[in-house]
Order: sequence, then structure tokens, then C-alpha cells
Amino acid sequence: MVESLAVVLPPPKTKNLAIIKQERVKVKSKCTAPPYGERKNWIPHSQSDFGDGGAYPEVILAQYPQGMGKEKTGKTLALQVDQNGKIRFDAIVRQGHGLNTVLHTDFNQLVRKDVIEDDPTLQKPGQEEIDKTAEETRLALEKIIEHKVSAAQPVRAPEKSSPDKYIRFTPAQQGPGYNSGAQQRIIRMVDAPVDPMEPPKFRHKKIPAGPPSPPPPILHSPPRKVTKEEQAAFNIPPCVSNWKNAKGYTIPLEKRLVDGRGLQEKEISSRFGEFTTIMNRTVKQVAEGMRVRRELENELQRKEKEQRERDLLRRATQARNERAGIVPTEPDDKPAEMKDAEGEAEREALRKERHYERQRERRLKRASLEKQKTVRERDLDRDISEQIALGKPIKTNTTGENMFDARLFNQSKGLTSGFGSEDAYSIYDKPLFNSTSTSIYKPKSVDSDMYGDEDIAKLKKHKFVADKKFLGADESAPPREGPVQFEKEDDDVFGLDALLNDAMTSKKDSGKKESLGRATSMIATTEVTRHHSSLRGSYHKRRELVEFESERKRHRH
Amino acid sequence: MSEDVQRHSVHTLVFRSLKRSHDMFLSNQGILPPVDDKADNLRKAVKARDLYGLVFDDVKKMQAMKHLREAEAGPNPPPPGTRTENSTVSNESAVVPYTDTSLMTRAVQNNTQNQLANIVKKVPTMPKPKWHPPWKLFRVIAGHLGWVRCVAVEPGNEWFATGAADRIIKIWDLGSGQLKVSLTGHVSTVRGLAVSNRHPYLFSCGEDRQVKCWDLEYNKVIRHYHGHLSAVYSLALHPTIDVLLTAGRDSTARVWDMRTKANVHTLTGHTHTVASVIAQASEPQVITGSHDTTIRLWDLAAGKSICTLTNHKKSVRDVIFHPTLNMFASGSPDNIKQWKCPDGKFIQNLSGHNAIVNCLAVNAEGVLVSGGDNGTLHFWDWRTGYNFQRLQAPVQPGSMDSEAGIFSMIFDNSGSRLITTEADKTIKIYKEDDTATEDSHPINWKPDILKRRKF
Repeated sequence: MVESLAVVLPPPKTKNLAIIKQERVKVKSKCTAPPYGERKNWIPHSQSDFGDGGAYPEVILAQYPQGMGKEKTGKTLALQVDQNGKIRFDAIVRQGHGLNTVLHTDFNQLVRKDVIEDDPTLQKPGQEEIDKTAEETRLALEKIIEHKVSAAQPVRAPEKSSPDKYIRFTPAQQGPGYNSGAQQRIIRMVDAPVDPMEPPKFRHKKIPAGPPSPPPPILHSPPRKVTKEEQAAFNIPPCVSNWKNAKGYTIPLEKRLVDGRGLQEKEISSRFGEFTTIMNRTVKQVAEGMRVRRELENELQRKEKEQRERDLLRRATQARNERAGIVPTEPDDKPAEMKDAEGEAEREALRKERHYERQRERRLKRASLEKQKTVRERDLDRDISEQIALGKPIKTNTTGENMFDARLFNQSKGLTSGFGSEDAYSIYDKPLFNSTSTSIYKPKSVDSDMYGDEDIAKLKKHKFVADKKFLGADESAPPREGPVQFEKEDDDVFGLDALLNDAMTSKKDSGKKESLGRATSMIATTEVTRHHSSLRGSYHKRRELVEFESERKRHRH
Repeated sequence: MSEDVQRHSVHTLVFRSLKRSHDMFLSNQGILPPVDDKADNLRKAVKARDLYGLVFDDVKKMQAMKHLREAEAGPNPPPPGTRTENSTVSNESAVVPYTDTSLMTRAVQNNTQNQLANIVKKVPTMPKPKWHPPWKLFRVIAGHLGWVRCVAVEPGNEWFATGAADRIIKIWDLGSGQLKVSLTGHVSTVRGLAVSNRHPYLFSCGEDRQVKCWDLEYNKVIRHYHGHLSAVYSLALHPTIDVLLTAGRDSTARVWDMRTKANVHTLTGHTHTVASVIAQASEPQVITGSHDTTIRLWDLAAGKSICTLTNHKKSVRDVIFHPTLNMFASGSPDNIKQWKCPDGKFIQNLSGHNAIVNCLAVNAEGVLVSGGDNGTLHFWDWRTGYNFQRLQAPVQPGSMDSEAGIFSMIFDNSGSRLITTEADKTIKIYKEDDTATEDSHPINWKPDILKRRKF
């Protein structure tokens, strides 16, 4: 009775998705690979051809079952497993490192272990192992050193290595066509000759260094964050120099200079006030006391003075009365005063004088007490010329050694030779060899044996004789032996001749004889010559020309 | 007495007692209690009588019959697989006539298992630190005119040399402390010194980029190694090969051939000043510590780094080899770390010296000393990392307190004298206090069990 809905409804047009997927899967899982032995010309095309196995070795083709072995983008590392079966997670960290580098990636590197002294792994290796390591290292280093040092070593001729190695070689391809029928070949191996003087063949260029080795894993917790207090503790204020100001900042003076004035706390002690009050009090007291004392003294003085006055007055009246014979009546102050005024004045004057004199004496005494100059002191103050004038013995500061100048000592010449200047070369005072140089040729006499008579005549002839001699020169005079010696003959005491000379020689006298030179003395003589005075005027008539004449000439005349 | 009682939290106490009981019983945890033979036999007898008591007589009769038959038949060779006389003896004496041999063997096996278990499951105890006598200052040598930056001891233990900021290298007699020779030649501070074992040479390096080789027979410089681009801070000599290693501010370490002065390798890789370089005969032959907080282990033959250790958080100022064990230690302001050669496996941390550690020194007796930039000296037991002494020597009279700082240290070849060079221009020599005993200076070892900081 109840009909299913499926019967009523028309059949569905599309299939159920689940069914489709199942079908698909079923299709995929089919492995179409031919069995083993029949795979000769077959090629696997898709992943399903591999089934759940691997590649087919008999099929010569690069196969990547399940994508294994394909070149990937490089971001994923293949999962590796170590000998205990545990996955090597540190392969990521170990990527750029060599195989020999030791990388600590385990947490055991952080865990504390006990140090057991008998543990064999903690003992140093034996001597043989140490020697072996040392030898290997040494050889490796030697190679490097040799290479580095060879550049500095001198070039040497190459050692004659025995290069002639002969090798018997049997080639694989044999036959009458190859090797001209021979079965074997003999090959001679020789080292290629190296030119020792050859410069390097290759130019080494420096290239920028490559990337450094990848960083090792960090086995400590990241550094703790700095607290505000710690940061404040490490805060360094900027430097404000007293000397330099590179950027030219304008910084206020309080920041430039360290002025301690603002930082000082000027505390005035309270005891200052106490001190001042005490001082004031004492000053007052003392002043009071002094005043009182002074007053008392004044009183006393006054009284005394009055007493003395009265006394004097009394005595004076007595004397007067005695003189006059007058009976003393009641003292009358006024006339006594009148009389005494003069006396008073006189006495006052006297007193003043005496007072002044006393003061003077006191002053002088004080002055004299201050500096009582002794004779010695007075002598010292005196100038040296005074001392000499007075004939006092001069006391010099030099005593003993200082009396003699050091320059006098250690001299080769002796005390009498005297001082020399600083740069005077005074080691030797006379030359080593006293003789005059013998190499200079000095002809002693004209030897007639050496030379002929004509030669001697030639020698003796005076070749160099002038045509015209000097005017007024005395030929008969003997030839000069030394320089001309001039004498100053002073007839002209008052300078009159000189004056006349000056006046006369102002004319142009070309014709006039002015004889100089030859004479041993020059004498200015007056010679009267009446001479072209008309040109000059009458006043010249009387003037006399002065001529210089040699003495000899005069004598001649 | 009252001071010895330490206050702990309840948690700590509970945990400790738990731990102790755990340690005590750990070895026997999975094992059954040993079998008591007497009790076992008794039990078996009781059980047997209970189960098979009714047939005892019948079994006895059967066995008697067998014996008679055998005696009549004559002695036959026993069939293969039968037991020897032991079984017959046990048959008679045993309470239970049927001896099940399997039971016996199982018991024996159990015993052996017990023993094995005992061996394998050793109680993991914390090693107790070895007692070392405390160290005290016994000599102060003042002679330099600047910070004393480096020290080296002669292999014959007669003298030691120090280099200072006054550019002079002074050689002192070790026994008396008297000055023997002053060597001038450097233009700037002398930062590193080394005395060769195999030649009469002294090597020095300075902040003027010079590395000099002094011939001690003539007290003159015979070689210069030219190549560093900046100040050279550290110097080391290879014990077996005639090679010199220097490291400095140009972030490289250089390997020089002693004789030809050639720069064989330039070990690059560090990104900041290399503060210290050391060399040994076995792998790793060269170790450098740098201000970029890393330590590098190098292959000397290839001139490349094998391993980089990045455990430190702050600059590593000194590295040093242990004289007998195949280990090395590195010092930095956060920690001093111990490592194992040749791969640089981390062993342990020595923490507690909270100052810039400028230098380290190790003794054959296992005393590690670390010197700080504030003048403090910490003495550690190498094996356990126990800090048994802290010292701060007072500055030379005339120096300010802020002028305290230790720049370098070395033990003499016997390991009994520690020579430190300081910033107050003195050289201080320390020795072990002979009057101290374990009782007078007890070990106060408190390993922190709860918080194990691994980093």
C-alpha cells in the first residue's frame, strides 16, 4: 500500500556526489602497470602507475613516485632520522654548516652534569694521540707557511727531479688499425719544465667576502628587559666641554660651567650674633670704665693743679707780704688773678715748652731705638766710590776659590796669557812647525852660473817704467821700502792757512801745480802771485793764492 | 649550636625527607624480599601436607618398590636426563618427596637478579665537595707605575714576568719577590705575556698592536709579528708546535709561525673583541672567548671554527683549561661555566661571583679561582662547583678603594702560589693557610635541590 517516494518521483538527472567520488576513487586506485618481466616498452605516466610502490628500475626514465627526488623550491627539508630512530629536528639549524661542525641543539647542553673524576671520557687523551694530532697539524701548517714564505725566498734553479717515468700502456681498442698493429704502447712521463724566473701567470683579484656561516643556535634566555631604574642608573648626560663646541650650540652658562655657588648652602652660625652681642657689651663696659677712670683722673689732676695754684699763690703773697711788710689781709681774688694772669701765661708757656721738649726727646728716642745703625751697616749702605774715598777696606764676597776666575785655570798658556773670547780657537798657541814653508820658491840670489849675463841683464832691467813721470816727483829719491808715511806738520796753529787755502782753491786752477805724492811731507805755503784778479774784482788783489808745494821743491828753489 | 639549625619551609622539609627515604629505598624498590629458606621450607611442608597429606604413604610405598626392583635388577646405566645423587638425597631428606627442581632454580635466579639490580641502580648521591685549605695573602709587590695587566710564570718556576700600563715588562724572582730585569720596548700597555717551554723566549703583546718575541739570553727583542689591525689583548703558545696565537680588538685571532713570523691563519668569526685565547695539544687545539658572548673552538690545521658555544649571556673575558682533566672553563659576569673537550659539552655552572670576572686560574688540586673587576677573589672546588672562599684584598696604602680590580692571575707551576696582578699597581701573592683544618673551616655545602636553574 505504501509506495516509496522513489517510485513516485521521476529519476534524478545527476548522480549522487558520494557515489561519484567512490567511483572515481575506485578508478584511481587501479594500477595499470604490466607485471614484472613485461615492462619492456612501457612508461609510467601518472602516480597511480606506481601503485603504492616505488620506481621501476627496468624502465630507463627518471621516475618520481610520490614526488620523491624531484627538485623542489628549497623551502622544505627532507625529514631525516638518526641512528636511534629519532627524527633529526636540528637539520634545519644545521643547513649551512659543514658536516664536521659541532652544533649543540639539544637541551642536554643546558642541563647540569656531574663531574666524576674517574670518568674515562674526562681524561686527557694519551701521549700517542697528542703526538699524532700535533704531527698532522704541524704538517698542515707547514704547507701554508711554505706557500706564504716562498714569495720572500730567493729564486733558485729548479731541482733536477728524475722525471723519466716510463709507463707500459695496453689500450682497450686493439687491432691492426689502431696503434699501427702494436699491442702495447710505452709512454714517457716527464714533469713540465718550470721557469723559475717567470712572473705569476694569474692576477689575483680580491672579491668581496661571501656571507658568513649561519648563526649558531642561542642557548640562553633572551636578555631581561631593562627596568626604568636601571636605565636611569646608566643614563649618561651629554658632554658639555669647557673647550670645544663643534656644532656651535648655544648653551647657557649654568650648563657650561660648574658653578658651585648655587649648590652651596651658606649657613651662618648663630654664634656670630652671640659674639657680637658679647663684644658690644664688653666694649661698653670697658668704655664706661675708661670714662670713669678718665674722669677721676681729671678730677685728681684738677684738684692737684688747684692745690698747687693755691700753694703758689699763698707763697707768692707771703713773699710779697714779707717784702712789703704788709699784713696779710683777706686775699683779694681779683687783683691776684690779674697779676697772676701774666705769670700764668709765662708759666703756661714754660710748661708748653718743656712739654714740647719732652715730646721731642721721646720722639727722638723712639726713632733712635727703631734703627740704631751700626758702623758695619752704615758702611754697607755706602756707595763703593765713597768707600774708596774714605779709604775703607773693601770687603768682597769672593773668598778662597771664588777669588780666581775659572777661565784662568786649566789653560795651556799660563796665567799671563789673559782671557780669550768664547769661540777663540785657543788649543794651540803656536803653530806646530815653526819653519816657513819650504815649498814656496824664494830666489835667494841671481846665480851667474845658472843664468847667462844677458839673462841677468834682462832680469835686472826695469821694464815697467812710465813715459811720463809724476809732476814734481823726485826721481833721485830712493825707492820706497814700505808704505808712505805721512806726518802731520802743524805750523798752522790757528788755522789761518787752512782758511786761506779754502778760499783760494775755490778757483779753477787747472794749470796750477798741485804737487802731491812724492814728497814725504806736505806743507801748505803761502806764495804771493799776482794773478788774474781783474776777473774776480779788486778784493782779490790782496788775496794770495796758496799753493801746495813739496818741501823739496821749496828747498830746491 | 643554635646557629646550626637552619630554618626551612615545611615544603622543603617534607620534600627533603621524601627524597631521603626515596634514596634509601630506591635500590630495592622493584625487588621482592629475599627468600628465607627455613620459612620457605616450612611453608612448603605445611602446604604439601595440606594438599597431598592423604597420599604420602602410597608414594612412599611406590618408591620403596622401585628401589627394591633396581637393587634386584642390578645397576643399569642411568637413562639420559636423570639427575645425579643430589636428587636422590634430597628425595629422602626433603619433607616433600617430589622435588620440583624448577622451584630451586627460580630461587637462585631471584638472588642473582637482586645482586644485578643493586649494581645497576646506584643511589644517585650528590658528590660532596673536596676540602681545600683556605688561601691567604702573604706578599705584596709594588713596583709598577701603572695597572699591572698580565703575568706569566717561567717553566722552571724560578721567576715570573708581569706587564703593565707603564709599558714595561718586569721580571721578578718568585721566591723572594725581588725585581730582576725591566724590559722596555712597548709603546703602549702590555696586555699579554707568555714564556715558551721549548725556547728561551718571552712573548709579549700590547695595545700598540705589537707582538714581540724577546730573547731572554740577551734581553732583547728579536722578532715582531706584524698584522694585527688593532690592540692585541691576549697571547697563547701552543705546547707542541712552534706556533703563537694572539687575539685582539679586531675580532680575530691570528696564528703565527714562530720562526718565520708568517701569519699562518686568521681565525675570523667573532663579531666583537676577542678577549682571550688558549691553546692545548689535543682537540680542540684553540679556544677563544669573545665580548660577543660566544666561545669558539677552532681547528688549527684548517683555520676554521669547529663549534660555537652560545650559553653565556654576557661577554666572556677569560677561558682556561684544566691541567689534568679534559675540560675547560669560561668566565663571564653572569656565570662561570665548565665544559668538556673536544665538543664543548656543557657540564655545569658556577654561579655566585656577581662581578665582571676578568680572569680565571686552575690548580692541579682542583681549585678554580676567579678574579673580579672589583677586586674580589672567589675560590671554587672544580668538581662540585662549591665556592669555599671569598676574598677581597685591601688596596695598597695610597690607592683609592675604587682602584681595586684584578686583571690577571696565574698559579705557579707547583700550584701552591697564586699570583694576581691588580689595578692598584701591585702584584699580590697568595698561599694556602697551613693552620686551617676541616674543622676550623668546615664545608658549608648546600646544593639547591628545589630550583635547578638550567640556563
